[in-house]
Amino acid sequence: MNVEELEGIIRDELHRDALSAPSGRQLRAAVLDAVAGVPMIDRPIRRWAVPLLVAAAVVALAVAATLLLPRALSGHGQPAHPKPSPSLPVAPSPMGMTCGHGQQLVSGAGARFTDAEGRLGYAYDYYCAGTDGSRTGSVLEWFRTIDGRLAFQAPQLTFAGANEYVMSLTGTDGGLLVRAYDASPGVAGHPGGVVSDIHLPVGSDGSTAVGDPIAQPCLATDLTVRLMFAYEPKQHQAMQLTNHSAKACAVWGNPRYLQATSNGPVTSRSVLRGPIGGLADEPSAPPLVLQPGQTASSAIGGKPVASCPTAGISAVLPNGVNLGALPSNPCLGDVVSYPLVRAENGSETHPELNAPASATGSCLDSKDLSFGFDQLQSGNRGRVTITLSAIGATSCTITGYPDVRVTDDDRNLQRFPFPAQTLRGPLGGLAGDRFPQVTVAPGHPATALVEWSENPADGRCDSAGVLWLTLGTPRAGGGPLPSRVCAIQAHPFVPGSTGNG
Amino acid sequence: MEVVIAPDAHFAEFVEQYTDSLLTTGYLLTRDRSAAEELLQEVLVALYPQWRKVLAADSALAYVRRSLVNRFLNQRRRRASGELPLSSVAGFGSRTDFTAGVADRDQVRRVLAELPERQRAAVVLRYFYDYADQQIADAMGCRIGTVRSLISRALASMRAAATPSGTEGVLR
Repeated sequence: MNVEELEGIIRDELHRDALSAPSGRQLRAAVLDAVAGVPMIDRPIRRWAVPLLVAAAVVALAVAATLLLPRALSGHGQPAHPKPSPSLPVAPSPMGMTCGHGQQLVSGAGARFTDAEGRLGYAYDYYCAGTDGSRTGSVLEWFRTIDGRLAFQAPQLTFAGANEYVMSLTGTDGGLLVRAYDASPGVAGHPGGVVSDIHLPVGSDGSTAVGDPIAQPCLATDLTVRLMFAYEPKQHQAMQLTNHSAKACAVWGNPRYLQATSNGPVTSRSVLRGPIGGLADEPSAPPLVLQPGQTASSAIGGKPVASCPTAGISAVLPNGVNLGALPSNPCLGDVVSYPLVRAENGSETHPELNAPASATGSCLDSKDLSFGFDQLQSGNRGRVTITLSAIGATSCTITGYPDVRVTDDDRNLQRFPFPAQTLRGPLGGLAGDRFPQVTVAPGHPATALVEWSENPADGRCDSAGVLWLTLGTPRAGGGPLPSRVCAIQAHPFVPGSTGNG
Repeated sequence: MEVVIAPDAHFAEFVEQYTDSLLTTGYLLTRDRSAAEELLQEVLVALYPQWRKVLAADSALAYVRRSLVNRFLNQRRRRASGELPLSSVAGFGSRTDFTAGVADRDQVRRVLAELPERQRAAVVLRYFYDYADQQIADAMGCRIGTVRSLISRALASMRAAATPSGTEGVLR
């Protein structure tokens, strides 16, 4: 083989190797993230390059948008569960940390940072998680790359108390910004659960972590508690907690349930996920910061009970905050508590489909209301008349479309269609074009029609079985449907008992 | 009109434009995807505070690539002072393979993959980037004579690998 042949082979092989080089897509973001906040040595360089400046500005804007937009669009400003950046090396095994029997070692958040001497480091959060949603506090360890491997750096990073749950890690110039939930019991009658941003210097002896509380634990007085019916992935109930206060507050974990009258225990167990909801694949529940107006939800499972006591149950958060009796009794035995999550139906894997715009009015919150379902078949068309009737002497009002869903006999929600909202159809509905405000009073019901066809030529057909109505908090009920319906549509509430008006 | 280029904007632009290319360099040097990413990130993060200096260079890309090569060689130099597994020492344990009488492209490829770091860096710059000896010397921080020697030794190793029955090849 002569030199030219050999050089040709070398060139070929190098170009073949180059095809296996990694893409820089993730690294770009990681680099820009790593240098954010790092000062530059100030010595201006002048150039005659207006087009280049413009291009640089455009690119910088694009990069910033790439980095910031996904966070802005994520809706809640924090991940459901912290995960290391995709560009981070896989977390090494922690030093000297073991988990108890039945517990799982978890590496949670991670970050790349520069220490006080400007050297690159990696920090990872570790904890042990139980199958019931319990977990230990976070341990933070940090590493440096030595000879291409992550080498443990002593000592472990001490950022706060022993029972802190790291929510996120962000690399800063000279250390880390740790957002953590303090699960330690509170002091002086206050519950635990403060969320803080902790600035943690790394590599500079003598510096101490400084924490800024960003959210106090949610108290019962901060929260509006609702019990709602949800339909994804199966029909179930969920407790919704909405922060109606003017400040951010934090919640975490699986609620416990007690007998409302005696505060005695309810037969219950906690799970991370199950057939009606919970977490996707996270090994423990994420602490949640609820900004004013934001909601966290916990699915409630169990077996329907034949005889439902009126006393009901009360809910207690893991940090001991007693939310009091639920607005209504879920009427479940062997209650299963799911963790609080962002999804309004308590299911991260199956967030509720967008519900049709539903009715408004005081009837939504009225407990002095009954409702009925009356099915009628007429030729190849069928309808259910939903009737709201007053109980006792009180009256209330309602305006708009009923919030109805169709499920099959196994209570699986049919993904579409929801009954289409139409003012009127062949079997009835609203006569005019304005939604009436209907007053429901003794002897004066409100009715809404849901109608369908059995003819596929009329529209899309879906398997059915049950028509579910949700009415405010926390009423729901179901009426029978044929096993197959086509072009199903719902009409607004109107006065009277016929659904026409 | 005289304008001042914002170094941070230029840095962002540079990262956007050249990360892929530099990652290729890093990968050809390290032959390891993670190591290439680590190497490049360390170089870029280290250069960022003095990016005005990079801007002042004739070619920012060449400057950064030079830093990349230097950091790679420095890392390897540090590691070389410690223990190395025998399998990672170029040539060790492969001599018997070379004498097995298989003189083909695969053998060249194996030796290329096992070249000592400085030889590999020189070969990558010469045969992938078509750098001249002086450019390679600048990038590696050494003299032209050293570059020629490194490349010559690399070629000799590969030539030997491609020579049947253990006959030592001699470059003409």
